[in-house]
Amino acid sequence: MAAASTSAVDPAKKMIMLTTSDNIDIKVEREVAERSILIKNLLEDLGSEGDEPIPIPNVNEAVMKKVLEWCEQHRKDPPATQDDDSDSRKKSTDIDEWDQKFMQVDQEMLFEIILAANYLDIKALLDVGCKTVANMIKGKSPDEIRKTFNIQNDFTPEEEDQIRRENEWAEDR
Amino acid sequence: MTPPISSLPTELFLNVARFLRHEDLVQLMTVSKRIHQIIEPLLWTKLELHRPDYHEDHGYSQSGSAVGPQDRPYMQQPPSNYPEDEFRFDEYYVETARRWLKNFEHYVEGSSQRLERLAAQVRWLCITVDPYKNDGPERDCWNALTKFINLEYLEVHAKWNEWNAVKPFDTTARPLTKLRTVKMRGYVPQEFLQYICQQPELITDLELAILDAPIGSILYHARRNPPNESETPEGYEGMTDAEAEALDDIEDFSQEEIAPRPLPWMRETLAARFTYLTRLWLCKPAEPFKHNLLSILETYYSERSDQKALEEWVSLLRAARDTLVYLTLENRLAVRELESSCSGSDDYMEYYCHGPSYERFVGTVLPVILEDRPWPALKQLQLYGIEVHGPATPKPKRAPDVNVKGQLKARFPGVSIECYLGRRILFDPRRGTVCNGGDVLGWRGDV
Repeated sequence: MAAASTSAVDPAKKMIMLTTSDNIDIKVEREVAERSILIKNLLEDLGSEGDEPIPIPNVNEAVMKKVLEWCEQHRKDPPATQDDDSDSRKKSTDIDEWDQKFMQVDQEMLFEIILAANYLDIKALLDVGCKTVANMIKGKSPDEIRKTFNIQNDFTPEEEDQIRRENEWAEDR
Repeated sequence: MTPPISSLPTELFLNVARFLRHEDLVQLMTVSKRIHQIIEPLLWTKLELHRPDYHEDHGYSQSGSAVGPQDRPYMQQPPSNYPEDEFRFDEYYVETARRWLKNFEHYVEGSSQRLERLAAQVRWLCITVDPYKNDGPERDCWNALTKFINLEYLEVHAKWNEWNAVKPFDTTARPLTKLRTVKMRGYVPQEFLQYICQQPELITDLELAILDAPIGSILYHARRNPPNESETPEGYEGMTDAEAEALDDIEDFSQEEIAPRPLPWMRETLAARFTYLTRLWLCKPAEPFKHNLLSILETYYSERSDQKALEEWVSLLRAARDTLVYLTLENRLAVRELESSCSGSDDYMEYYCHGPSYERFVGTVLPVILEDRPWPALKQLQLYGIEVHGPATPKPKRAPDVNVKGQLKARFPGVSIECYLGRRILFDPRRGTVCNGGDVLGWRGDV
């Protein structure tokens, strides 16, 4: 453990610096940044006081700010255990109100948040992102899904029909 | 412009899919070739054709052995049109399973590459086989199951259907060489069982609870008495000893009702080859203790089937002794449907489980477990409905003479020995069939 409990400043409140892919430095409280397991591990491995800026080469400033906004809101959440992770994942696509509002962004940003959450290893945010996408798919026809995500249909009508027949048993009746 | 969603790598796309239900995945699959490629294995690798909480409801939470491949790669929630009516919960999925299996019943090998390719993707399959046919061609459900050549896990719950006309099983089908886990319950045909178990050396996890064809009540028009067996000649005069002995073996099925019977199907030579089992669960219907003459007159429990099934247990136990880690043996009390309200209580189960089946277990199986031979790998031995020591009632009402648990504890000091009340099988006395919901062995919710 790197945290020194005797220090005068609460180590959780100590500011650290992150450098985004577009070379912008962002100052953030250590506790907030540590929602990211990647950053948490980096800080522990470096054993530094967090004076050096930490490079985050895969995430740009706009996305990083958005991610940190989420981390700030969820800074006191209990860390997810391995167990309830796999359980709660499947149980529902419910998203709490604040997160729902937070996810009201354009699709480009939505997928960038998901990629960033995956890279930074923030499980809870990754799940919120994936649930948001899942909710955009749920209950829609293939055509509606294509429209929603602007996806080209590269099947011939015969192929599409074939796949539908093979999986007909699993469809709604 | 490429759509933003295409930036998601496959791994993250799968993460999204985990939050989708079966029905949504089917819609999603036809969106584009890339998505189809990602989603198809999700639906077809692990097939659990029953409602999401099936294993929780029909297995025992204490025993890992009754639990199937629960971890679904997609959301474990029922489809949006899931029936509210609790009675139809299981039926809905039985129907889904029926439609699914029918796809594979009527194509000749080589004629449909796509179906063959799909069948080859299936590794885990847990399915209720219901031979019911409302329209369309003759059902061919058992042969269809041989098309899933890469199966590693197969769990079948076979329903009885008295109107069924199922194609006979083609015993020359190619063996399923990857099969490691076999779980068979209910009215599975013998030929199919023999096919599935033809390479017992490969199977490590085995669950068997096989029922014989129901006979039903004499008062019911659909009674199917086994030929010859119900006719008992006048006496032994003029018979050789062998003939007389064979006659003693014949059971009298002339009684009004016949309870469900276990089906002993495994020859001893086959049982002896199960030498790599690590987990074994054996279950059969059990005859309750009878306290008055009335019930003796009404219902007949086949003593011979019960004894033969126990002998099958013995052969399997001897074969698997060296490798068995988890062993579960279950006597499931078979109770007439009409007695369902009074038979559900713990008191009832405790009192009635110490009947003839219990005594036969003590006489046939227990001595083999207690034999002075090593069980080097055994960690857990669970008994259900055999001798009851429930947590609520540490002392059985009708105290058994034997103290099976005590003897086992003394014999296996390091092994966890557990005795549970277990469940019961409710049967329809008119038809002799098990009244089932999703589990062909009987009712849920009365552990």
